[in-house]
Amino acid sequence: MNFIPTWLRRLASPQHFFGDIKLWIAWLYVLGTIGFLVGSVWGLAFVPPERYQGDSFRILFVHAPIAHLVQVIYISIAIAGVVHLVWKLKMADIYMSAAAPIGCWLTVLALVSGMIWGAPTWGTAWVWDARTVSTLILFFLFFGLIVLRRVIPNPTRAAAALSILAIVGTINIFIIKFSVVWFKTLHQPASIELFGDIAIAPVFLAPLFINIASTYVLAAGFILANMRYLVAVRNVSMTWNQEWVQGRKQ
Amino acid sequence: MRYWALYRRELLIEFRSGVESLIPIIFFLLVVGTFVFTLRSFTAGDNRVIVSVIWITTLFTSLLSLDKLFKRDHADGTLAVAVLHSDAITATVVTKLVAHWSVTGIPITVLGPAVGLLAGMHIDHASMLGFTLLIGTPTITMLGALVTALLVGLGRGGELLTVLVLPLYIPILLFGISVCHLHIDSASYTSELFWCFALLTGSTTAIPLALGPILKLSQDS
Repeated sequence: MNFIPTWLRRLASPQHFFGDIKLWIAWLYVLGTIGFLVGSVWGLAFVPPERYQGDSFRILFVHAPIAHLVQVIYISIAIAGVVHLVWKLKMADIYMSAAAPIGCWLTVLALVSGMIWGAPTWGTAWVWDARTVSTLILFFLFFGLIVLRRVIPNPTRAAAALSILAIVGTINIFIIKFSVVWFKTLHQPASIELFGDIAIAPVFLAPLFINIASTYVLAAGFILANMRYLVAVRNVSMTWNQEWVQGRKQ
Repeated sequence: MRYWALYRRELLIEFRSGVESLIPIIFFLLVVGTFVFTLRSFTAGDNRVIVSVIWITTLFTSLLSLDKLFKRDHADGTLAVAVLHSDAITATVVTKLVAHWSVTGIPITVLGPAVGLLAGMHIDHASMLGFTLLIGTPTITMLGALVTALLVGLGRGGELLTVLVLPLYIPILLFGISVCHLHIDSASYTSELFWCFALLTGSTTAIPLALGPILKLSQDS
């Protein structure tokens, strides 16, 4: 595995991760916050109102990035699950435990912001279509991951169980997402596709993409910070950890 | 031969527990009966609603019976011995699951359409319901067994199992119900039916392979 640079390989060890990642988190927070502020202010104040929805469409710049992000987070947990099952990488287990609660909260945000957007434009806060239902199921799957991690006392077994549930859940989400599109009765054409046809006027794209990029960066910061916390908690008995605590006390 | 003996053992244990083995079936009839009774009393009722009720009650019934799938074997050590024979664990687990499906899936596949007929469904629609249940119940057993295996020996079942399993049941539920609904509407249901078959074959081939290692881990703690 010589193609992996040394600085990245160091991060696989809890001790080096704990020390190295602090600077990363700070930079991700700074970049993500600036990007999110720029994108949101641009989207809220400097973009013309949409033709049909007026000003209410502006929640797009918050809702779309988050709704997209939660799916990416869930799939990344499943990938970490595969990595854990194949290579028994300890950090993959920590990633799964750290990303699940953040994904769960972001899913709530995506659902709530979608409802706030839906109420004035659709006339109803909730529609039973592919996107809303798959996001709702995603919330339950995230919740299941968090609960499963808590109820299994043995860490090895908990990590394996989490990996399997994440992988099965991802297959599940894909089937639900694409199946409902094929249902003749429930089908609702997609208005915003990130990949494929872009049905958004170019004016709106720049702040949208800035916000998508910044939510990625911010979420990475949140997850890494949570990972750093979990690394510290799960290695309480380690010498390097106790030395760090001693250093803080002085 | 030894798997046949194991299958017979599982059925024997089930039948020797007497009336207790009937609880899931009675639960199914009770819930569906209550639903149909209340729906028929207050609204005109719709066959599509009956289909959804029977399908969802099938899911709940499976949750009720899954709890004891590995419980007894784990308590008396049979599971630990089965896990030790790592080359045979997959076949052993499949036998157990087939036995479990025989006592929960088959009765529901038969009773579901029968209740549907009593609720006033047309015989064609009821038999389509039975057919989707025949495809759906093994899938439900497999997915349920996967999550049950993750929780073996934790002393936690019931609502935890429900929260973890029900989201995984949603694809087969969606496709099973939509096949019946499209059939009632005289629309084409081929693609949805093929999806049911895809879920059946996918879950019955992949999940037994995963169950062996999962059960092995459960014996470590």
